[in-house]
Amino acid sequence: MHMHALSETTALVTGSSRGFGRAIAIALAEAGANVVGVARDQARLEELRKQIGDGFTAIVADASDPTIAGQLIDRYRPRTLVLNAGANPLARPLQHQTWQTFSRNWDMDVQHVFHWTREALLCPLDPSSVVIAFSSGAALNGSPLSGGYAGAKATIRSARLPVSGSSRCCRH
Amino acid sequence: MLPTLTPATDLGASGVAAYARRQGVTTGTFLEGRGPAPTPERVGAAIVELAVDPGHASGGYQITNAGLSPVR
Repeated sequence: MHMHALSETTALVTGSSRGFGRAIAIALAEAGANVVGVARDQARLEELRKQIGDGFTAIVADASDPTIAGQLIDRYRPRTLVLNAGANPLARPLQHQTWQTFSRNWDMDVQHVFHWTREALLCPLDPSSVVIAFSSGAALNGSPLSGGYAGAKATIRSARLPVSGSSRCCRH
Repeated sequence: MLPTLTPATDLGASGVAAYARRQGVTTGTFLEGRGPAPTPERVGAAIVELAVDPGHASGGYQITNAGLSPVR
């Protein structure tokens, strides 16, 4: 559908080793982008690199690490940035959560969106860049079995990057 | 991007299993009548669409397997 629409651009995807992130990396590569995939699972990233080929660069790292965000934004200056990384919440009613399990998606999902969007602005990424962050339907409808997941995802949705002049807005 | 609940990822499958268990039904029954859950491939295609043209939906986009719809 969009073959080569993103040719000669760099796309960076966090949480790239499985699930949505993996499929996003594949789709962006098929659209011609050079894809940088960040995840902690080296084996799965290597599998993905074999599938996509030379158009994929595997970065084994923790996407919630602010130093990693700064380094990779500076190094790759992606035209397309997909902030997909996130923790799988413990599925239990609230009273069976601990503070640690309840706040897990803040520490992972929200923190990584915070660091990467901040670095995108500081770099700054080119105004025509597109930044997409993953919230969830849970942000609209709640998810009582998912601890702090719905609230964390609602925060990601409500965080919008500022528009500067006539540049394109970064969308969440 | 606001994906709706899907059994197609590890994260979604955990959620589907938990809610089905709470309702006392099978995951198949739980998913029936919920509408088309987004597959990873569908989400990948949607991301490419938005990367090429992000549009102007200030409230974000919901994604089901039927596609993207802006959230008000």
